[in-house]
Amino acid sequence: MIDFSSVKPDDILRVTDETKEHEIATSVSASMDCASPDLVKVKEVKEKSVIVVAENGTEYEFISDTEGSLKELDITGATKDFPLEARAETTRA
Amino acid sequence: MDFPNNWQRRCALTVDHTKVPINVVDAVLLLTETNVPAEMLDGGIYSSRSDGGDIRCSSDKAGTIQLAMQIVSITTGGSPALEAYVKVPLISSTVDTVYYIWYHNPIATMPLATDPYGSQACFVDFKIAYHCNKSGANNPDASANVNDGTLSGGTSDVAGKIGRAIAFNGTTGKCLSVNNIGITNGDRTLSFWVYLNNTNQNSMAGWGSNVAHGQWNACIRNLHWYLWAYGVDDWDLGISPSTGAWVYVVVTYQASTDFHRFYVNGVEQTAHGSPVTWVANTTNSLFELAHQLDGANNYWMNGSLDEVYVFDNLKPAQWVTYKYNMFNSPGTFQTEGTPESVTGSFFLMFR
Repeated sequence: MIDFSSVKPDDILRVTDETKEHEIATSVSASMDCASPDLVKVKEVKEKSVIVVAENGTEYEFISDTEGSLKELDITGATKDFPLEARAETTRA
Repeated sequence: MDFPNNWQRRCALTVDHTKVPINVVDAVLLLTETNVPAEMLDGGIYSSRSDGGDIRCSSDKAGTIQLAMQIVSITTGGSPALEAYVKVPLISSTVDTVYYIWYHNPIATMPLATDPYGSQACFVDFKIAYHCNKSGANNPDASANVNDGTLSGGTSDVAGKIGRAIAFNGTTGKCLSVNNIGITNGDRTLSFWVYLNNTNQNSMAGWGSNVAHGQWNACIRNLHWYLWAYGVDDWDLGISPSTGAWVYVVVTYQASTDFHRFYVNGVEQTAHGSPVTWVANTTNSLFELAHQLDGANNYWMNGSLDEVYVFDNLKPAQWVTYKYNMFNSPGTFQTEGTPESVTGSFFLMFR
């Protein structure tokens, strides 16, 4: 389970991966369709997810999960585990 | 009474991730007699109250994270039946999701609709949520918008796909929301279960007015499924609907691409092209069921509707699959564990 306790609104998150940094960053870049793909800003911290805003204004929800391959997310200097699944599409309701 | 103190029974509920092709945040899940513990509804020593007022859900086993719920209808003892909904923070597409249902607290009462764990919190993401469990001429909206429907003409209460449904007689029966829907040119999703008695021209659900691109109605026309825009760009799907069976219909519009998609029983209908493109400029109006006014002509639906939802956002194909799986087979979508007594709490009733 991801610990979101240190994440707060307006934090800048850098999406990286320990072993596949370029691949992950490229993938996130494509899905987020923005110039600096790996940088997103935290809009809202929820119980099991973080809503972030990419440079183009598009919002994404990063989901915490209990299993799955993990990549890392640098949070303004800190390092947190973050599930690879976070890049997966999500919906609501 | 503060939950979970004094609740005596608890049971894990497990959502099968293979039925959920996408992660869903704040998923509103269906509870029926097929996917909750039998003892909860049997009227026996561990049963819930007959009005379901003591049924609660939590994310965690300890009950520290309570979930918003709605009990739509319940029967305990005899032939048990349940239609209830719970908002779960996250259901995963890769691992089973476990949460907990609590019951058997004879002095508990259900939270009010407006309470933090009440029905409006459960359906907060919905523009309209009609369970079609009518009360007289009222078709209550479970969402926080409280945009109830008013029934008129020939309508009746019948067995639904889930719980009860509303039947429309095909000549005078319809339902109109109290307030305008408030969706004009933005993203939207409309979903419902329909049981058609014939394939006469009608509108099952939608809104708008008779100006070009001003209507947005899921219809039957030319004996086919049909998305009605008015004037130009109507979409005849070229596929005949089934009659005499419940069918799940979802229609979506994505404003950024102007794509319209039409799903039947979880499958996108592509025989006559999909997605179909036109600019929706739907007139803000009352939301209507079972009736179409096309110029001077009225067309009425002969059949029944159940679980009618409207969202002011786009749901992807995976959402349609997940909802279809949930409604169509609630007992395989989610399974109950072994009920257990909750230790460390008890209460005394003084007479």
